[in-house]
Amino acid sequence: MGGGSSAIPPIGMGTMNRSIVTSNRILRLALLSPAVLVLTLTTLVPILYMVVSSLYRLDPVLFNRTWPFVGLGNYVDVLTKDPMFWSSMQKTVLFLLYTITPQIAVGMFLAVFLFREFKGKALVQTLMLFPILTTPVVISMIWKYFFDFDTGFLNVLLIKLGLPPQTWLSTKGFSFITGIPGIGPWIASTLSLNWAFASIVFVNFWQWAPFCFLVFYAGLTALPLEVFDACRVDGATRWQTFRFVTLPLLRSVVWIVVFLRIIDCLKVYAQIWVIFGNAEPTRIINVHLYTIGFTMSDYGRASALGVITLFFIALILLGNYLLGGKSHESSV
Amino acid sequence: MKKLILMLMVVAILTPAFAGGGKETPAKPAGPKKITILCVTSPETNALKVAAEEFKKKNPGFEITFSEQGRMGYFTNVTTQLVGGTDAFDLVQNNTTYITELAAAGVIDPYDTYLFDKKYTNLAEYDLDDIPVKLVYNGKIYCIPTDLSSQITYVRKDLIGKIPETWDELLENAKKFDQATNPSSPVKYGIMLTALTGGPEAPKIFYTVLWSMGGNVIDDKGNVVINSPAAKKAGEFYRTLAKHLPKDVTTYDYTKVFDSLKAGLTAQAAPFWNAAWNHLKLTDSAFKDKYSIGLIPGVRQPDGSILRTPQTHGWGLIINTNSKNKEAAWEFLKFATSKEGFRIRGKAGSSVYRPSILNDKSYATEEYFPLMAQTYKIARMEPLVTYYSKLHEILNVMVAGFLTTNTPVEEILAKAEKDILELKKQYK
Repeated sequence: MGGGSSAIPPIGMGTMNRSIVTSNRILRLALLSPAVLVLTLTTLVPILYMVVSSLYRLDPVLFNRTWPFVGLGNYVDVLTKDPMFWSSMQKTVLFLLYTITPQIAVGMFLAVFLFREFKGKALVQTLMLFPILTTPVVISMIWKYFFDFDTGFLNVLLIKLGLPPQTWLSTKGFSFITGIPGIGPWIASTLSLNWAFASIVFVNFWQWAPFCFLVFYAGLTALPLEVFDACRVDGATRWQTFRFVTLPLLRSVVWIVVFLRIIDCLKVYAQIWVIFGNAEPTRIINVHLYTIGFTMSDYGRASALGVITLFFIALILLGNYLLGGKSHESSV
Repeated sequence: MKKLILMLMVVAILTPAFAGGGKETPAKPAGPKKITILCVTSPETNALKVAAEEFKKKNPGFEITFSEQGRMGYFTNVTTQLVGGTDAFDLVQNNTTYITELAAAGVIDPYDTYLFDKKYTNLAEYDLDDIPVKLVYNGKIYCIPTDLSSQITYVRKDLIGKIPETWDELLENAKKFDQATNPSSPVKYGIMLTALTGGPEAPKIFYTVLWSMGGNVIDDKGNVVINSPAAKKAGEFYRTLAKHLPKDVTTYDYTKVFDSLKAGLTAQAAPFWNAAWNHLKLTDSAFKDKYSIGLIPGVRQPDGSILRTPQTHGWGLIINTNSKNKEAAWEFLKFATSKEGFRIRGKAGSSVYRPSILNDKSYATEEYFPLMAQTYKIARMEPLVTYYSKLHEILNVMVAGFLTTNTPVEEILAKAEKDILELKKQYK
């Protein structure tokens, strides 16, 4: 049967194939072009406009007039004269670190722990979806009220349990850190170890840890069961099975989750703004960018900051991609 | 027969079309004059709505739409939309402190075109002299506020017999009624004020303290004078006060302080916005009748007098340059800021500031009105500069520095001075 298909095509068939291929290519391009056009208009054009704007002095007073060309002046201003830029960058990195690490750890723990049959499993999984499905602004508003010192749910709960209420929204450093003689206050301030920062980290953790759980859980369901049976037969403990079998097999999924979470955390804005506005102790780079661009209406400098931020984000993602890629290759 | 019927039908259809012949089509009655106002959710807006209803009764051809937005991000939205050239609204409610910036940008129109044209305004009836505050840029009036906002002192009259006259007295009360230092205090806090970082309020409140101590940010000649002994005194006062304020005071905006008054959590709120007085009366709070109001405290001078310098700013309606209904918009604006408009809005919770009304004893019957007349007499405005937003941001960081860090006050002031000087260079 198959022999027939490998026979020499009749005269004219090659030309016909070529024309089919050509017309297919044209069709493919034609079908893709609306999407490419929309993407270009909505992504590439604004980015180019941002790059151009970053080279001009541009604020409301000048918006409808001539914009003075300042070259790289806005970039120099951001990098050398803006005292908040580097501290915002530092806070952004700390925010990534503090949110993603526990999200991955808890998400993985829950996935492994719940990867079994039990009564109410569907309900638990559905409940886990709620934080993801709710908009960040709503979540932040709810938590802002929960964190309130005088009337917040958390403090009401603490008082009922006989514990002292906490100033969840204060920028005070953790006393067990600030209390370290000599270097305590410096550590608390450098590593943003204060209640306010912990609150935004917690809100982000609460909303997105279930996402990590769901992806890991999906990853677990795709793993071959035979490997786990073999582990059982060989007498491996649960920890050994997790450490030497589950985790290596899930490595590529972990990197994808890390990648997605980094992208998402770098976009965080509303969550912080709703709770703290642009308060310095919680001002990550997006909040700073918004402050310069829209609170101070300095569109030129905000554009330069946008380009710089884009560059840093690209670096972080590239690093993650290279690390993740190598790791994935070595695991294969 | 069929042809005849068809012809008759054609004639029947065409006859009305040509019936007018050479006559002119009668003029279509003019449609309603529609005005759209972008405004913020506030007691002032509620009062404007009451005035709008009265205006519509008197002028049946008008339709007024209030496009309302919450406080969060409101000023950002206003600036962005105006600068972007929108014609989605004709009038926009704005804080007067932003008006110079918008006027310089050429995105709002001066009132002059309509105010000084007899066709639109009867100036004698309008009584411009009765309006002590006008926002002028390059010799033109860009805004006559509908409301003036300033600060007064709120105290729990069941706890504090005499309204504090000086900052020191205010601080004493703050200590006395702070449960952290005095567990037997019947209220949780001795003092509250608005210090939300990133909001419009924190620097305005600080000005009130700073001016009374003899300091300033930019003097009358345009010099940056924030790094001064007087400013240091004001900064240190803030730092001392911070010990008795809620630990998360930088999340306290108007609403949160107002809620604390409503819930009876604090013995004093000062300096706090006058709008809260009428606002509080409209609530069902169990504490709404437990407060007394008075002038904000100040600094006792060598001659025994007290220098009090409440900061004031207005809320007003400004004309969008791209509005398609400017004449109709002016009609409402004129009504809202007329004596009649002020009287109507004043009864609906607005902050009246026309002296003729404040001093009219038949109208101004409560303690609030003479107090406000006195407050506006001594109140001052922030510098109306074209770089207001950026200056405001620098001051916001400075105030947060006093309240939430241990950085020496001198260092914070030196940094603010450097940043303002840098900013001024850009706007030479």
